[in-house]
Amino acid sequence: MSNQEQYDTNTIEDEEDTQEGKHLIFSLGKEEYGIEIRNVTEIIGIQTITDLPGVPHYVKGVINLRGKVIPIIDARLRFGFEEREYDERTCIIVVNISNMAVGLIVDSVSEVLDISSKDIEPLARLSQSTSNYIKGFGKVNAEVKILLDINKLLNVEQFGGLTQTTKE
Amino acid sequence: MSNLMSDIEQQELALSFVAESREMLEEVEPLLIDLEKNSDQCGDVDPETVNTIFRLFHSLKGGAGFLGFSTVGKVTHNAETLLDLFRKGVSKISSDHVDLLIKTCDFILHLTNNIEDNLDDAGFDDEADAIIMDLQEAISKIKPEKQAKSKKKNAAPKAAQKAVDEVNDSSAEVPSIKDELASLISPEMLQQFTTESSEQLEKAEQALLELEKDGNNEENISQAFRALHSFKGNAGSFGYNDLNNLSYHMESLLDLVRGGEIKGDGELFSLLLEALDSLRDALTSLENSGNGQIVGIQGWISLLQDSISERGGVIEADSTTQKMSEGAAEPEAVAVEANDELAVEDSVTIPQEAPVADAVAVNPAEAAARNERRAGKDRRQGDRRASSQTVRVDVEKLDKLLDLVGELVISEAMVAQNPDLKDLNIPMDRFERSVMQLEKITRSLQDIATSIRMIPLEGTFKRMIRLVRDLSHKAGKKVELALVGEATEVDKTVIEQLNDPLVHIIRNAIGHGLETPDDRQEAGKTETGTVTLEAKYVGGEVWITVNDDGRGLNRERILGTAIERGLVDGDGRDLNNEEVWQLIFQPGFSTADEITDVSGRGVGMDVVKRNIEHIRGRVDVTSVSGKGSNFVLRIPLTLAIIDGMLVRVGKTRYTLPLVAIKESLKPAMQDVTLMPDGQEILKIRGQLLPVIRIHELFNVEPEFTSLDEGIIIVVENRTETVCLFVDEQLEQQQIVIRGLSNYVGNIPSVSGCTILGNGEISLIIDIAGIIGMADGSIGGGYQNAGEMSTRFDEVIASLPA
Repeated sequence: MSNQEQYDTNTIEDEEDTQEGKHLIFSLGKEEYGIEIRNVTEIIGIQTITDLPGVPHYVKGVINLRGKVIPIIDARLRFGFEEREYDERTCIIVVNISNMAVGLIVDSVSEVLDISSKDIEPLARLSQSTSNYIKGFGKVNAEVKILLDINKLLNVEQFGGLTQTTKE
Repeated sequence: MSNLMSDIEQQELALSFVAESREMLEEVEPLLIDLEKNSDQCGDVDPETVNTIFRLFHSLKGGAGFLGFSTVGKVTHNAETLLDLFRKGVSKISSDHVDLLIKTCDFILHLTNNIEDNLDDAGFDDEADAIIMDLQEAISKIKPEKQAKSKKKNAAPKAAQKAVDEVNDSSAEVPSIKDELASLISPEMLQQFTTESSEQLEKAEQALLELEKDGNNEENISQAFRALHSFKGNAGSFGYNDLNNLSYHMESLLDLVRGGEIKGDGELFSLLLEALDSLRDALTSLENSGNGQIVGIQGWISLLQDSISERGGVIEADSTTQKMSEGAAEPEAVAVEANDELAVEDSVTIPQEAPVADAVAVNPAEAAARNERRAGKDRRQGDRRASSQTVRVDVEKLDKLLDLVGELVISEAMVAQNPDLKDLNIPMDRFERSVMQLEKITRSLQDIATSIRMIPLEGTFKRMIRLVRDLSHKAGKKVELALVGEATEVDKTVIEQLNDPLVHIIRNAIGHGLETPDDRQEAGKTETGTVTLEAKYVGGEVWITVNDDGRGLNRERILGTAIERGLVDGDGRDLNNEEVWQLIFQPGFSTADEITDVSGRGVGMDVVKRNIEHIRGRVDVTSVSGKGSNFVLRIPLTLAIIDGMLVRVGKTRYTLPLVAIKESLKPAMQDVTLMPDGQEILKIRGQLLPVIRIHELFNVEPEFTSLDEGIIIVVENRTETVCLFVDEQLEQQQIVIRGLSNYVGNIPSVSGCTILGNGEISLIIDIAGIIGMADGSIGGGYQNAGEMSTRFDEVIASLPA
């Protein structure tokens, strides 16, 4: 596991060519999840979140990240899990999708893993309908990580604002 | 040419050519349409308009020739030749001609787009040839007359002047005497001429500079006169008509000053100095094997003549003038003598020439001058000078500047309200004085930074002239477009967002709103419908109004469609007009029976709303059946920074726009009435106002729940006034508005957010939004600010007196 590194709150460098297949692994409850590292811009600790009215419950609000206003999504609430008090292990993964920065609150961030495409098992057809943001399962040694499609997870295809889609 | 273009400098030149060309084309288009209108109505065309168009095409050709854009050069050359025929009165301009010229403009615009991308205008030969064919066909139809005439006048200096124009075109058709004369001038002679002339100009300049300080020094007047006189003679003998002509007019002016007929003042001499500069520029171009022509010479001559008549002098319309001045100058010279009122008319057109004469940039002030005829005259000279001091700046730099100013305002607040200062416990007088000074400077800087980005709406408005023309032809309706207040300046971002909404509204006005000429007559209206486009400042907003005198919006039809599409529950009888009109902004909403070229697809009005909301504006619609409809785009003036009032609810701090706040007060409980539906109403000086509890609206834990413990802030939004209940009113502060990220989209009750001195984010409350939200109508998909007041009118009516 030579390319295994510990990431705390450091900015991840842009190294496009070496990012292929690299996944940031984080945990929510008992399971471990992975998202492609090329979407991740940085990982920060939990901070003051300003509530927003009239947004879906999983949008916790906005934070001030060095002068930029960034919306924050609670991954637990997004998956419909039980809410849990934030602690010192709680992290915000800042991802950049379609030129928008969005923060994702997770229980903790563990490592960066190389998962090549041959080790990724696509989702069984049965479960596809219910969870279209799951891309597949990454097999690392004996463990299985749930790999997520960050775009679908954050509803980016419904561009034009979350408020637009939730009013109906 | 492609070798040349690889050079960065050439690239810059090309890009500035593109920018200038676009400005010129933008200017040409309304003029052409104006021509068409006039020639339709009375068969006559305004020679000055034709001249202006001719000059613009001429400058385009010149620029293109200089940079080697041969396609642009070819096309403009032919267009210019055609225009020249109209200018000389050889033929009347017809609607077909205007169509052709507009097509030419479109093509050139297309070419400039290509130049912008590829720094080249090659590869459009087929299109260019087609247009040139059309142009030449139009020319040849007129030509038989023209040739007969030009033969007669061949010996006259006038024809010679025209020939000078054509000598400079590689493809000149008519050989001329000038041609021969030019070939007689050897390089040595030319060099001698330029050297001598430069010296004379230098002498004249020195004298004029002295005169600017002291206008009464006869010796200096004579020196300037003599120098210009020699210069004129020289230029004349070499056949440089422009040099000759302009120096002649300068000389005449000085002669009048010398004779005491007009008084020389600083303004006059500085005008002469500027004219002298253009002589020198032309001379320099001669040295570099140019043609010695002066761009915008007619403008200069008119300026000189105006300055004479302004000072009560009389211009001798002697034989020399007649011979010297060509085309445009003639009617002007006569007009000045005959009628002072006409002279004013003339002066109005001058600023339009100025951008051509000025290599630097177009000054917005100049555009403004165009609209105010008399005022324009007084300001003209000032504007001219100002225009030579403008620079083109990359928009990105301006954006960056404004961003930085925004950051500065935040940082200033961070310093001035730094919590550490409170812990110091020492007298802060000097610190506060310094902070005040800093605040003052920051505010001035901010004002300037904002004003730099302000652009007059003129360009956007003028584009609509073309649109209206095309649409009215297509729809078979007669439409008159009136523009009001196009000098109104708005932020660049606003301009960018305005074009599409205006296009859609006007398209609808012509497509649906205005009736056919027959229908209009039946309804007892004039055959020609009027669409008025107006811009003005109202309070802290810019209002852009599109008004038509057509049949107005059809309430039944809109409601019918809305019910059909399930946008309205029930029969919609309880909706007031304003709410019904807002329905047309729903995506895909269309009541048109058939889809035409002009409108009916139902895309459009939602674009209007979206674009305007994007710049924090709103659209108000009023309509009277049979009388027409009125769309008002209301856009806040400053987009980035506002004065805000911080209020606290529980632990959260919200920001209210200061402009919306009327007062704040501690209410007495006996003034509060609780309605059966739970709505609280507060009586303030006899007025009954609804209370909106911010903590309920935003679902936060407040410190106080009883109205008399917290504080009431009375806010108003246009017609409605409501009370907001908060825990505490904090300080007033300048805030920089930030968007809430595209990811979140629009939240009806929040217009954005701002970062406070301590890094905390404070949401900016959208007053119009919360009024609608408390009213429960926001969720319905259309914003409704009207219902609240109606409801309260009913409530108030039902209350015991």
